[in-house]
Amino acid sequence: MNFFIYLPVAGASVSVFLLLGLGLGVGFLSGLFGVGGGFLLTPLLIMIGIPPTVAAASDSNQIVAASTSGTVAHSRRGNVDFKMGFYLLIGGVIGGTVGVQLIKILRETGNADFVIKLTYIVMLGIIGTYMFQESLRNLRAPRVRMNRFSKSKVSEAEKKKASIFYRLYQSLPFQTRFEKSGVTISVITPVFLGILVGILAAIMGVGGGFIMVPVMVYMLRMPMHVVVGTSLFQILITCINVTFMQAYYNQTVDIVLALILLLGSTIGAQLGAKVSDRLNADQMKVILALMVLLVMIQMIYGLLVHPELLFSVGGGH
Amino acid sequence: MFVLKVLHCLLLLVLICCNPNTYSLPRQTSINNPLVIPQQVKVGPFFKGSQAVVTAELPECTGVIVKFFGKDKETILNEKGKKAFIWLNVAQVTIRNAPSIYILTSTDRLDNICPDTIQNKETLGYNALKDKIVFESTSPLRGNEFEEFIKFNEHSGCYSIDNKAEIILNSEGRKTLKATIEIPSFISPDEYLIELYCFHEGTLIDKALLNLSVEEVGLPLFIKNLAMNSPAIYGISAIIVAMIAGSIIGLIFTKKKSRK
Repeated sequence: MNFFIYLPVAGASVSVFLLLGLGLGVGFLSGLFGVGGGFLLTPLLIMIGIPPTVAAASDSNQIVAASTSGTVAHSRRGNVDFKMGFYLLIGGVIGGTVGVQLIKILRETGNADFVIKLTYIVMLGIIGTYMFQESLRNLRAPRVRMNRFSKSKVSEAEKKKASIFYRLYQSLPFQTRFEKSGVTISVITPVFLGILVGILAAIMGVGGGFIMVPVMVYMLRMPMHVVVGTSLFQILITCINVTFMQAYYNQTVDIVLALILLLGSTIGAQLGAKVSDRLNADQMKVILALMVLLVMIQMIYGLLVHPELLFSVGGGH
Repeated sequence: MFVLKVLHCLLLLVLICCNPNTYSLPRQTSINNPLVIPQQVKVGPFFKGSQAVVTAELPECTGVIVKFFGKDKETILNEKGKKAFIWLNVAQVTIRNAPSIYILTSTDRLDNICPDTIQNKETLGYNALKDKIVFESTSPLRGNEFEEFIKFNEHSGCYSIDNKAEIILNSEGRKTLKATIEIPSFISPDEYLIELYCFHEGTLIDKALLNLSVEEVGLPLFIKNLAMNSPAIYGISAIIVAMIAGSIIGLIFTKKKSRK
């Protein structure tokens, strides 16, 4: 039995069960890793026939629900560093604005599509490979794992040895203590990293959660469980802004589509948050790394194989 | 002599009366009672495409073509191409004079029903459509744009050609048309036309025109109006609804957990 629903803004009729399933799967990943899931859901929605502009805008709307649910769940556990999230957000907004201008220039020179695809593959490849290698190494050596980026204390000596970023952080002004994350760094650091992620997110046309999570883990040295909650908080604010802008300027938010997706995704996010409590940080990182690498492989495959249709609806990246 | 003439006349009369081609109901020369059911397709919350059945009483004919089509519109599509060894969007193609919907159903293959000249004149079939549609691209045209455009529209169900229409002989010996049109779920609310063409051995005998409207009703209409006419209220509502839904489900899960 298949139950179809008509999406008034998208102007298409889609199976309710298909949308619920997509929402559930993506929401689960959102709760588990603190990624918004936009980089997975938007292409999937386009694949089932939703116009790209409507898919991206409605996806932002459903992420508002999933990340509200996830943020509430994580904040109750004390896993959201609102202070860090705020600084990252400032950077993200600046970076997003710069990124949009960059895309404009690239479009004028006719290289936008190539640069976007290449950025995707390179970023996914670097993040996925690094996370996978690092987490696997930690899983094989349990003692080392305890001393690294999990919930436990990180020794000062190891921090210094591990990264040149650490020495850089220490030399910057405006040093602030981030209690929830258990780190003392300059506020310039999260703002600067937020800008970088914002630029990449704008170029790639995604919320940036899947870039922000590794940045918080590896560069800001935040514990994985706080990273997930903080990332969800940041995604929530970003997506509220995007949803309003898309609804106001482009009229591309389909609330029916978003509601069905969010029904699945909010439940999925809660399930994901529960599972994340049962897994240790390195196990979670291995799963996320594999997922990132899988998306990268799928993208490379899509670039190399002759597409079924050479024409596609314009809009989006 | 007179008797012979009378006999001759009587014989002729008998021959005329016995010939089934000359004796029947008054000869029909036009399409009668063309009808499409339904005449209005309502797009409600659970719309998933629809069907419209076209019927008509036909004159003596060898083939019928039914064309369901929408207004010509301009469409902009991304075109993929191979750069080095990878497939990328390489151009934006503007398509003009292409109908939004083009669904054609006939009783036989188009070439068996009528000659190319009539096909081109009446825009029947993809070959005729090819001469009408104009392509403009941001990069030089490759020559396969029309074929790719048809493939793209067939994929969404907006374009199709089949020969599933039937001519049925009714109890009164009259020929009746029955053609089913599959209305795709991607159809836009608008006024559409259905043209019936009746051919006898390649000659167009008659044609008829029907109207079919597609309208949004109920919740889809309300949502679309709100999204288009009051975007600020719509945007804020969408955010609030999403946040409430997220919080409620969050609370449900928290309660369940505390019960355990």
